[in-house]
Amino acid sequence: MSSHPQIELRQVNRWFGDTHAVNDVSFEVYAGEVFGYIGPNGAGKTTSMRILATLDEATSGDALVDGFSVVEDPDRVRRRLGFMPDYFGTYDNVDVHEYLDFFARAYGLRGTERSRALAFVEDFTGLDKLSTKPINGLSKGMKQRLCLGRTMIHDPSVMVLDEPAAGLDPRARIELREMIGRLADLGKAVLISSHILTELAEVCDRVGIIEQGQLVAVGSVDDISRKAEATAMVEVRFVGDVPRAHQWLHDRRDLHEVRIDERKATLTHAGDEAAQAQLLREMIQAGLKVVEFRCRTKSLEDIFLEVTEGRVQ
Amino acid sequence: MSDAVAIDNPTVADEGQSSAWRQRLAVLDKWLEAAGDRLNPILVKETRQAIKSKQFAITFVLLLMLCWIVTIGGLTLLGPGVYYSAAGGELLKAYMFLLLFPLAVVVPFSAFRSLSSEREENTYDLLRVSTLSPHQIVRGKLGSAAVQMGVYLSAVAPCIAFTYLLRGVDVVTIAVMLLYATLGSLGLAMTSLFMAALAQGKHGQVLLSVGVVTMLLGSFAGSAGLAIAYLDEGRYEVSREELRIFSAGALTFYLTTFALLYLAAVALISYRSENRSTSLRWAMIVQQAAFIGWMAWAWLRFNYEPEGLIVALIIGAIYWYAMGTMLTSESPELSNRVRRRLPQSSMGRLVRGLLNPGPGTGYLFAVACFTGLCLMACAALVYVQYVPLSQRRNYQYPEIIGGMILLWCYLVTYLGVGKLIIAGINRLVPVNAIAGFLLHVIFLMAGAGIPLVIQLSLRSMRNAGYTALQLSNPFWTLGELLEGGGFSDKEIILQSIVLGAVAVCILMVNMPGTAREFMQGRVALPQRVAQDEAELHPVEIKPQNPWEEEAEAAADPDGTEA
Repeated sequence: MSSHPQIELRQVNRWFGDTHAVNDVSFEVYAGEVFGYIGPNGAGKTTSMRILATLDEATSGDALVDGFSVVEDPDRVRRRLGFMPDYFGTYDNVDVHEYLDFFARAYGLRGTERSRALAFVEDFTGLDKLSTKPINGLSKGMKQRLCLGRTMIHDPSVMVLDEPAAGLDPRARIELREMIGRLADLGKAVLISSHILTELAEVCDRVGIIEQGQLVAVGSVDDISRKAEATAMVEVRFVGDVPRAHQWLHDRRDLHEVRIDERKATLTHAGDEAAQAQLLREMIQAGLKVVEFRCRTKSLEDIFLEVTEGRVQ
Repeated sequence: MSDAVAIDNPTVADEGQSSAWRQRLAVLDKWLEAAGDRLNPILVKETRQAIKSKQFAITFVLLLMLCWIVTIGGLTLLGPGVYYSAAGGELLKAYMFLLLFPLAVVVPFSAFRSLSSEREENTYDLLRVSTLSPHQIVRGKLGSAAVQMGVYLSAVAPCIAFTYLLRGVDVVTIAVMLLYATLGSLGLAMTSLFMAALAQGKHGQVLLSVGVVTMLLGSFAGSAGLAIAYLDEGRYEVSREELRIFSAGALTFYLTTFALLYLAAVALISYRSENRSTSLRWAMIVQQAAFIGWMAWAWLRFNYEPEGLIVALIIGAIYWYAMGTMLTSESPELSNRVRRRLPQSSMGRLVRGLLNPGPGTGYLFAVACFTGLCLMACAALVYVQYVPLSQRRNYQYPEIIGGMILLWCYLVTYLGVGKLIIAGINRLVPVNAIAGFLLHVIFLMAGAGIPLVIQLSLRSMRNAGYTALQLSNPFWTLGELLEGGGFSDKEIILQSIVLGAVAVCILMVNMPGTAREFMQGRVALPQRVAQDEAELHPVEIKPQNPWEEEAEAAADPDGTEA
């Protein structure tokens, strides 16, 4: 991994009227790295990706691609960046080869250079057998492949893929993941967004979780997994004096994210199994009538839900 | 020996011939491929699309069928008269009517749809993230319109050539009509593209679509009417010299307006940090220069008519007001990208500052250009003093000079106050060029309309005619001065002093903001950009003296690097 980041977001903010769509977002992606950008719908993923792709303008802050500012040098950025939006963007009366040929020309590829690029992309995406087929007659999976092909036609060093797996069947998802892995092997920095963490877990080197415009967690998948193992989710059910039980839970400093639903409470507890047993003992010693005490290790999805629902308000 | 065998054997000879043909075709294919590489990508894509599209096929076949029907119908009606009557003109009218529909409506509307559908179909973003420049996008769309136009013209060309054989119409007339039709169609396509670039949102697109269709149908009706009128009578009444002068004048106006619309369309689809203003300002200067040139020529040719000066000043004021409304809506902050190219010296900034983007510089630019026009008018007034009275009419100097001063004052005041209003609103919400234009127009209408309403509401003043209350109404005041002759010399001087004082005050109030725009300094090229620039355009360092030459020769004895 080179020391020079291929993608760099520096305190990017974007306001739409009163809505703070992207709030002080900063992160870096290096060559050969796949960075997963995760968040629920409307979290600000697409907006920050569009800013990076020079399609939208940040209210403040800047984004750099290979060291070039997207605001000040969009032309240099566009030469190095391939952007795959979350829509297809197809033309009428155009076949697969003509479509890719048009974008190859649009990126300034000429003569044999263009022929080679077209052959490589058609082979890479498996579209070589469909090159004369009209694009409007392609299946969704094939259209996604075509869009990926268009994105990489000029051999960009940076690829920004917005929800590329949305609406694909399991087989197409697996194939897409393989293709993204191969792109990273080619040394490209890949920024890929999704609202499904598990979808990205296998292919991403690092992930960033965004909620309500704020980047709430960044790290490698291993780091996040370790964090998951270190904390446990505890579900407790009480009978008897329930308000007293609620008060007891709220007063404890070692319990986090306490959510109470009548007689049932869900909370996060940092500690091993012995600490969990100690917690149960203390509850009983305090006179709380516990009828159920269940612990389970957090999954990646739990962490995603935790950071996207709890902290950011 | 082998050659003889090859010649004797017909199969081998055929194979040899076909392989030679294949080679020639391969060379031709390679040549066409290389030529295709130089073409605009959008032109290539849209031509491919058009060939396969139903709309193009239907229009083309329909045009051919209609031409065929007109030809057969015309000849049937003429009967034996075709041998002795000069019926070419009549048939040409019918063909022009058929040709003008695709040229004035179909082609320009296709150009409009071509750009606006890129937004609707979400393909516009894909074009923007590519390395296609806004110039290439607009030129590609325009080129595609030109290709379509060429196809329609080629479909009707044999019929038009046939009208010449029927007599009654000469080659020059046919050539002039086709030239005007082609240029008109290209101009309408450019206007449609400009309007497509203007429409950002969905509602705007719908509204502008209606506007474009209305404009194109109106143009079709107008151009068809003109073509028929010209073929009926015009060509006998209009002399060749008049036609040449009119054509040259129209061509000047056409070319400068075309350039302005083209640059405006490019500016509208350019990225925010680009310099979207300087090229437009140059185009405006060129248009004003062409306008002054033609007006001066007309003034000298037609016996120094004073009305010529007044008309030139009124047109100039309207032009610079319209341009000023949009120039004053620009952002006051220059992007770092633009600032990289600013002159380094204070003098350079002062000289070129008027051409830099910004509302303050835009305001001053519009005022300066109109002031230039006024100075030219003053020079003409001085010149006419030396022309004997026998060769010219008597000049009413107070009215002309007063009118000029009032026009200048109104331009400075309305643009200046409008600019201040926009600056105030800009602090709350961003104001784009269209909103800026509308704000200016609303302010002008308020300045003219409110005093009028007040006067009409007051019983004592209702029938008083022009009063001092109407001083803010440029239309009535100037109308009264230039047409009515309703002011005495003293009144003209008083009006000029009052309005002049107001205009100068407004100009002064705008000066601090304008000065800040002029003071913006140059920023250095970022290191990464300089590095990239050096990689893209390496500078060859040549030896400066014999020792360096020797060192270079020693380093590369074979000259392989060279």
